[in-house]
Amino acid sequence: MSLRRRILTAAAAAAVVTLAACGGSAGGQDGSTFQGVELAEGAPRPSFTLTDTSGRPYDFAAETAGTTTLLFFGYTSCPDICPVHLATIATALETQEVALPDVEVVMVTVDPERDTPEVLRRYLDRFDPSFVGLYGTEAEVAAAQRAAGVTEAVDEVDEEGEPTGIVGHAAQVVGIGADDVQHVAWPFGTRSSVYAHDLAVLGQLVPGAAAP
Amino acid sequence: VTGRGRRAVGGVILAVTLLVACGGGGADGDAAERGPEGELTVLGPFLPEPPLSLAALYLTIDNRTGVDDVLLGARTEVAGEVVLHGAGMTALEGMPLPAGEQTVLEPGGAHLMLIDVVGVAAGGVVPVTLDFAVHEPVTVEVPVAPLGATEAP
Repeated sequence: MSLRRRILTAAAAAAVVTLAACGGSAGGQDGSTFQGVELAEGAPRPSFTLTDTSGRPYDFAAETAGTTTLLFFGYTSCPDICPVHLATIATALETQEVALPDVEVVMVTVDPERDTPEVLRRYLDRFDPSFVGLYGTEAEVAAAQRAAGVTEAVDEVDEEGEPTGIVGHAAQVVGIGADDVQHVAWPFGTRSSVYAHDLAVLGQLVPGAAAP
Repeated sequence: VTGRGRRAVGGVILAVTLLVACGGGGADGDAAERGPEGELTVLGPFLPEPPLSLAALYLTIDNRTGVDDVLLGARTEVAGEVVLHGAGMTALEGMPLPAGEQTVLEPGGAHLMLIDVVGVAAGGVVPVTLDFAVHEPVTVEVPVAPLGATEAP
């Protein structure tokens, strides 16, 4: 047995994510159309309104209707998971190893206090200027997370109850097809080739058709 | 520290399971890479270029000194502050480095978070000094990987 020791203080959460990633990499063998984690529920495109980085209201369901969409909840002070997701998605869209549909990539900040529209814009521009950044009040962001069915972000506190500045949030990216149904989630560690594969599938879904 | 140690042990069991499940899909296949016997060695350090002013530093520490040690933190001229984080961005006061074991800080898990980073771009090299409870400080030259990278350049 290897002597290597992995530090997993959030071991359970990491295990779920990693196992999901492993299941995904074996994609297809279980009959799934997607290489990411297929969502059984087939929930509709979530509906919520936040504000985009230009200060305009952004009705998510209306703005992205009929378009393959990646939805991600994160924050710019996250140096570890968020940049990996965004850089991997940007790579998938840039390299176009397979023909990809028009894709809208939307990141909602779960840290609206620190992530001003300017900071959020500068952050997303590092990856792809076309990425949409949304913010709102804490209540609005919480409502958006409930609508999307992802774990609500929590402001973590230390032993004295003081805020740590760390915001727990769902680590997966949700994929919504051109048929306006949530089909797939990609955990941390998903490769750009997996995104490319699944985005191509999502783009081919048409409204009203049976789920794949 | 005891409670943290117990969690770490849980992590070991899980990690082994996951590595088996994934066929070693995690870190760079360097399971065979070891530092010299009798020394504490830093293996494969890297730092993805930060999107703004926060960066994460990853590395593996191979403690073959025969003595249990603890990674306490790090210093570098390119950051205002360095904080040790466990998985999920929880701040840690120290990372146990049991004798004879490799401790891995990798994307999605534990890392050193650099705050108020300036002048760090992909292709560069950043000197970072690591502080330990027992071992004398170790300075490593850390290559800067592209934005969002999950492995050393």
